[in-house]
Amino acid sequence: MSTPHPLAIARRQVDGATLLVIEDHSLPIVRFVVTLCPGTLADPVGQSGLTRTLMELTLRGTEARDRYVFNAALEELGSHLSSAASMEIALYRGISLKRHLPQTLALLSEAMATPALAPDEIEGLLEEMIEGLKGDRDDDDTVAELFLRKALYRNTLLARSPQGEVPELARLTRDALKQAHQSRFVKSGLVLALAGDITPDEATALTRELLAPLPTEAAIPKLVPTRPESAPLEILVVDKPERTQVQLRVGLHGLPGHHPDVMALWLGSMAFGGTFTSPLTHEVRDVRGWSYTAHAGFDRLSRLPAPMVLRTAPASHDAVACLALELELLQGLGERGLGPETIDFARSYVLNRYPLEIATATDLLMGALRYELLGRPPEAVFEVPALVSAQSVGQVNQVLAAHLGQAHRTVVMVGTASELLGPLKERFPTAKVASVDFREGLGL
Amino acid sequence: MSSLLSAHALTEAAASASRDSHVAIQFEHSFQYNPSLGASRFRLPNGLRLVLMPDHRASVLAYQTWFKVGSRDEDPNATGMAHFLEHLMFKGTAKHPLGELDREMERRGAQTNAATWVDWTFYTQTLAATRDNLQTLIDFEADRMIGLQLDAKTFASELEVVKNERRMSVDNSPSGALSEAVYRTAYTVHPYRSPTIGSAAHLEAMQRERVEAFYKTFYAPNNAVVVAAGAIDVVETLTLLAQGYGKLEAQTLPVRAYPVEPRQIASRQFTRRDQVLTPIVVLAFHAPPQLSPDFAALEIVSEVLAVGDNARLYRRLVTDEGLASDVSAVLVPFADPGLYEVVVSGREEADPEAIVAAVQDELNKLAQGLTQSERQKAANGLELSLYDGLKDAEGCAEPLGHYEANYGDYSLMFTALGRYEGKTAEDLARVCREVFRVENRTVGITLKAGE
Repeated sequence: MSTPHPLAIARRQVDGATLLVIEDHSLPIVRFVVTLCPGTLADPVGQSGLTRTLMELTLRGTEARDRYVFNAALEELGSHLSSAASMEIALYRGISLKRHLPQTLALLSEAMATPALAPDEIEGLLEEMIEGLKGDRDDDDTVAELFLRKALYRNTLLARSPQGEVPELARLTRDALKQAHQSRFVKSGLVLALAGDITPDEATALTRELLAPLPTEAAIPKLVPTRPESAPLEILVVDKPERTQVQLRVGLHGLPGHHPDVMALWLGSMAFGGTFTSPLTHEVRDVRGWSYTAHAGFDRLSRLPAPMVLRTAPASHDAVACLALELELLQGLGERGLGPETIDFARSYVLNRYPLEIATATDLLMGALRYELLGRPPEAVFEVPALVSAQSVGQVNQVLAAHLGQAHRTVVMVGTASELLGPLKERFPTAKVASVDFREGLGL
Repeated sequence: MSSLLSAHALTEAAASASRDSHVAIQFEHSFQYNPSLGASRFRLPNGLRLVLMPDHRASVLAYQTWFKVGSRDEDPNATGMAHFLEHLMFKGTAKHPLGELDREMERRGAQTNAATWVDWTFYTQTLAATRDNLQTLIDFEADRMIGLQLDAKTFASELEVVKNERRMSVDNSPSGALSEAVYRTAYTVHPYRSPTIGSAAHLEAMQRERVEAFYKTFYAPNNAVVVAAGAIDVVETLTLLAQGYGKLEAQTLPVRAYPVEPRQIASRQFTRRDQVLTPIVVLAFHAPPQLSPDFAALEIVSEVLAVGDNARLYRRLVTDEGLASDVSAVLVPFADPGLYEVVVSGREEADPEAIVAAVQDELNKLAQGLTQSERQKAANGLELSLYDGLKDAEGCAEPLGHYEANYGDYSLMFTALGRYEGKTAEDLARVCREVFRVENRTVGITLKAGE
């Protein structure tokens, strides 16, 4: 048996919210995360970006102090506080000197309970967000991720950007934001995690104060998105002029974190493309020099079905051949699986590396929190090595065949369409090949 | 722990490890930051410096190898060599053939990486703190410090990887391309004007023989620092390090003198076109080198200028005037005079000249001093940053290696707060007046292609 982890996770219920605390008194700082579930998945149809906008607005002034006074109070403490939102969760995260933690959390409490949602701040923020979304299109990597999401989840709630779609952002109203605030910011839906120079008792007292001004009603019901129908190979070229390189993504629908096969799929994806020596990386990067990045990733702790995504960035003249190689490797993965040596090597990598990923209180913070959000005990974060060890080679290959073998491949290529479309149609005559302008969706 | 780091105990540790390894290890210096964190420096007869930081908060070993060589040491007509060599260092030696290093590190669960910049190159591994892991790391690292072997096929395929890295980070990246152009314009003679990744033409013309010569010139124990931070035993670690590296021979290092960049006496500006929807504007000012007292003053100023929503630049450009969607500032920590860069993501319709004027106006106002609230914000923010950097062994290893390799003093990592103390309002105003002169400025603007 391995030795117990030196850091313990304390879990408490505080006024209907869940609190996780990881003590580490080596430095006088405390990190914290406050989460609301779900995240942008809760945005009503036609109001994408609502949650993201609301989270940011709460940090832009309260009923008691305007944005500048609020920020001055926070910044003078040296504390950092920011918000973010994904499909699954919306969160605040922060870091504070230990001596300033009570004041920092008091400011967060004020922001959560009594945001001003001032009309001029709403207008200004929406303009900033829309400009930011335009700026995102200047980065090919970001464009690839954006269009992969759209291509993978066509016409479902998951296809929307967590940042919001420009036309819908432009229509968000203060009433919608106020309504969302009333329904979302309630004690019972919150999970808080603190790590650092703090005890569970101190954290409990501070959490109680933080939550005091919030109502206690139950959180809004979860929305369950549907997965789009499968289709044959689809290739979407996101056209951008004068590219000498292609940001290439191949996405396959995977599994949610609570699925019994998720650990085998994760281990399989790690073995396939999760290390420098894995087959994908070796073939694309080492053997052919086709791409600086060559990686397959799969999030095993997602509440929603997470895709497995292959990410490479070949030169334009190598892009079609690189895609063909990746699809060939994927086909082999589904049909023949991976050899025992490859899977056992990945297992060794994971087992030896995992302790490093949860070594410090900071490392442990998000891992424990994600298990909690998955509906599992946060201590499950310590069970990963045993679960990885338990996956046989046969199981892994069975799961790869079952979930990836027949899964349709969604391909997104950000590059110059005139150089790609012809060779793509020639190389993949049965595939559905389409092209869109990289500015699509911006209303330009 | 504190007694272990006393000079007497460390001298004894060096003596004990010397007996076990048959290599004369010299204890040079130690610094105790707090009761549980401190570091010390030793030296082998071949000049290799060893910086050890026992840190038993977690059973982790962070091992780093720093070389004092970067892109400023390259022939300006053959740029990209230091960075390309960093890639090749993972390829193989006579003892450990191609692929063995990556495979062995991954089997052990190591987090492996490397980086090259203008002044330095370093290699890093983080893995479980066991004697076997430490011994294996030392075996591989000591071996590749002098034993790299390059075959033509590996050289060629890795060169394609680096060309693709350049395509990704510069040629197809509007911000990367702009940054490269800014450095090319701001510097006229100093090698900081050359891109660390190398120009496309120089990568195309890269020759194996020249890379090998570069390697043999700069990769030597007397041009390197090894950092071991984490759950280590000092005597055991010293012994293994001495056994692994003690036989390597010191080399005669070239005397390095870099052209001094002349004082800029007139502002420079250029505009380029790229596939962007929104303009990018960079204002870059020649700034003091990292060890200058004025660098610390600029760090304080930078907290006020660019950290947080109430930071002066953010408030002026993003919030009040709606010229930008984001603004950031970077003070580059270079050994020679670097740059202070303000990077603005402009709004689609914003006039770039209005952005430049607004930034310059805010910079000019700094000469009037900071408010008490801003000074407090900077002090607390810098204190928090220091602690955040000390949060784990890996976080400590990098600054230890950086300061020791570049300046011969790892303890600068722990004494950062002291460098900020005592800066008067006049100190800050003087530095701002000197650095943020219009004549000292290079402006680079990227606008939408076709307009």
